[in-house]
Amino acid sequence: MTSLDPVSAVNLTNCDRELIHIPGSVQAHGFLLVFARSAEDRLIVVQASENAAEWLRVSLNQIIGGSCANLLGEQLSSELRAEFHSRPDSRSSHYLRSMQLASGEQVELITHSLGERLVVEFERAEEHVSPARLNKTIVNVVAQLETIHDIGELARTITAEIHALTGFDRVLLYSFDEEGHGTVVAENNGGKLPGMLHLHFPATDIPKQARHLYLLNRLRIIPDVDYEPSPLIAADGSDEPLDMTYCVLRSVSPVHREYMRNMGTAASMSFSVVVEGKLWGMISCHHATPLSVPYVVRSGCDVLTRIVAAQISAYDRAANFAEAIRLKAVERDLLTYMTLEEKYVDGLTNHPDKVMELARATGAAFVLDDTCLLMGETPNEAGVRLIADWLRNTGRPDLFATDHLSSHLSAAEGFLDTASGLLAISLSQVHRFQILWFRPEMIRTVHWAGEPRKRVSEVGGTIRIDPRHSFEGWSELVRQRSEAWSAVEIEAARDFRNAMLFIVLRRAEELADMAAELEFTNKELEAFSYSVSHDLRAPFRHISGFAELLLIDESDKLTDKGKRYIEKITQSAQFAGVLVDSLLNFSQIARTKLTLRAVEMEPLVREVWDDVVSQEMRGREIEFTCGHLPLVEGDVNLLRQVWRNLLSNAAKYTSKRDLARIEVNAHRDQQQYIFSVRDNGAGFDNRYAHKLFGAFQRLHRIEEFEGTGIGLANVRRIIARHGGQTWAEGKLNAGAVFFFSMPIPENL
Amino acid sequence: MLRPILLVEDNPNDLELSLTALAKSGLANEVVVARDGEEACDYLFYRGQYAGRPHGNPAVVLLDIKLPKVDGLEVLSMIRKEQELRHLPVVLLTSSREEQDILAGYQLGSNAYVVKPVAFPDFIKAIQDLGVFWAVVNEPPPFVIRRLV
Repeated sequence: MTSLDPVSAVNLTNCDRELIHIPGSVQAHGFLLVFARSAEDRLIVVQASENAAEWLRVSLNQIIGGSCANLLGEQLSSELRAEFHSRPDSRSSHYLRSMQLASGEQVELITHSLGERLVVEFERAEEHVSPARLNKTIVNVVAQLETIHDIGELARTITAEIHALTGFDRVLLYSFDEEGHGTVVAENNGGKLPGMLHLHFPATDIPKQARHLYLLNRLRIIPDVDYEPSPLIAADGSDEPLDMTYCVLRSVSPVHREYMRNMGTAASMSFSVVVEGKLWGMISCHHATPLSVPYVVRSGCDVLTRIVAAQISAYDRAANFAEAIRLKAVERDLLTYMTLEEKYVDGLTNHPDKVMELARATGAAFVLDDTCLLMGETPNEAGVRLIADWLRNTGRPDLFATDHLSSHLSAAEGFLDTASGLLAISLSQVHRFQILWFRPEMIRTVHWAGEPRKRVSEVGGTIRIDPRHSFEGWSELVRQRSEAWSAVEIEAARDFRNAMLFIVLRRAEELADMAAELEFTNKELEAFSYSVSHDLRAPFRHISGFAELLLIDESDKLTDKGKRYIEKITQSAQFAGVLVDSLLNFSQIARTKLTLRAVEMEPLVREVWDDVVSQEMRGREIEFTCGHLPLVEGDVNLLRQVWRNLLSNAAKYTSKRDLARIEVNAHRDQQQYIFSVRDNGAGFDNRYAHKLFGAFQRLHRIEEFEGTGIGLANVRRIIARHGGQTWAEGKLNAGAVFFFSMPIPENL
Repeated sequence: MLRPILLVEDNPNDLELSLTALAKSGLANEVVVARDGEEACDYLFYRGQYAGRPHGNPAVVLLDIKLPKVDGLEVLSMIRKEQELRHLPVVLLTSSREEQDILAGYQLGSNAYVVKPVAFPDFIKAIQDLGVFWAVVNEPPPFVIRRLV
């Protein structure tokens, strides 16, 4: 006989790293044997729980290495061999049968296989419902559950039925949220233990590896928290520690047992609710005193739980589909609006309600370069820009969702009431092009079952996690968080982004086409002006010419009235010629290429002024001042036209003054220069100031001051091509001042 | 001996006005009229109806740009290609103030480019000034004795 070595139990370390699936011991309400197949196809025990000796009334030496047939009889041995053969590596427990031991005790045999090993667990039989009754109950409950589609009602029904079936005092169903915290959604309570409905359990109550195990093995039971664990014994160095994931007798972590004691629970049993391959929640049963329930009943409860899980799955899927379809409809509406509008942005901004509905948000914002359009309840524009810029600068991906914005961006603490939650999509890497959805803070009171944080203590050099001691209600006010964005809403936002990208792309193509068309139209316009310049001038010249000849050659035959009429004909024809020239000049300004270079405005003004004085202001009293004018970048010929127009106007409108006072100045205003021409002339009614720069707009009668009305329009066009603006102020009979701005040259 | 002025103009109104202006200017030079580019070339190259005309270049050509058949700029370029006509004074007298026309005119070698003013007194003055300058004041280029083939 080989010497015996206890398979060492694992030391307590950090909870998450505790290897709970290889505890190396079993609970006391049964014993365990691990068989291997020998060369002669006989089942030999390679590991056994220490208490097997007690149960079987033989020594451990006889058990380890002994054959199944010798220990348990030929009958059972062949059954087990058949079992092993038919379900190799089953990795799930299976009820075999009950049997009476030599001692007279009834045990239930539950088996599973793991690779080359057959694990047989012998659980003490309990008096409980008869199989017939159990079957009937289960069939009834299944029929009932299948008709319920409301998750709340489902939860209440299952907890009630399991309570009735198993006799456990308190049966809870709780579901896990995204972070793994559990909320008790239903409870059936006999009254001996405190109620826990709606309480929260922190995620740390069930460490990661426990959750993993609970997915693999959906049932577990601890009939008596104060059991004495019985270690597994193997032959000397022959076997690795047994993976007890699928064992029903698996001994649980001492931390867990302390947790149970702290909760006042002497017995517990639980079932995993697995939906779509994930741990959705758990059904937990607690009893104030030790209690056991036979495997078949537990198995029956597991069946019921699986029905519930299937219902939940179907319900979730249906709800998700319905929601997805609804959101798709919203998306489709928005896309339709955008394609109908000339500026697709209007399709969004004209339907703010729909935009917000797409993500079920209370506020939304549309950011495109410098444009920022707000809808619903949002932070102010500066705040929205701050958030949008942060998203861009931190290299956020195309889609970003959070229900706790202030945890990412501390500045968002100023916008909790509008933007605690943010869902954002970005449509361009290069430009500012984003859509943001906001949700307000949703202050919730979470009732934790006890203070949720685990305490850490040091015991004998190793760090120990203390399970929670108190389960008294502990309320936490959850702040700075909004309602979370559902997976469906996030998908809808992502879909919408893709659709928008498509629209934007198509618009860009349309614009390119339009630009090409515009180019073509421009060329046609050029050809048109060319013929105008020839074809229109000629008839006016002829009218004027022959009218003059009439006056010159036939004046003796004309009356005074006749001569007057001819004068009018001549003047009109000449004026028409001037108009044609002005028009052509005006259109040419838009067509001409700008030849940009450094232009000193001061000498240019003086040069133009000299011309104006000599050509238009002979014999007049003039006071002209010109301040220091800066250097700009521009087309000198066009700028000359600007000054010519403005100074000529000043000269013209001061013609009725004894002394014409004209001032030219410039000053700097942030990123631009502002030039001004001030005169003390006839001025204009400031109410019509906005009409001044329109083509052919005049604010005075033609008898008062001649002119085509196109000069200022020229000025506006030229300055606009240089990136500046034009405006004016005036007062009737009290002079006027004309302004234009030009950008400050960057590198001259 | 007074050389003639060759006036190339297709528009009858413009023609009448120009002739009237020339008459009023008091110039003694004969005015030869061509109604299109082809006629102008016929005159200058002793072709067609002008095949047997007395040898000699006009004092100046007053040339409109927009002409049927052969237009003004084409006439100008042909003039400048011909050895005997290369130095012949040509004034483009036209309605167009289009930059491209002005540039083309000078590039092809016109001596002057005058835009016909709408106001008739100005027009008379322009014609007179041109006539007086080119036909009277200016020293015409000596012409080369043509070798008869």
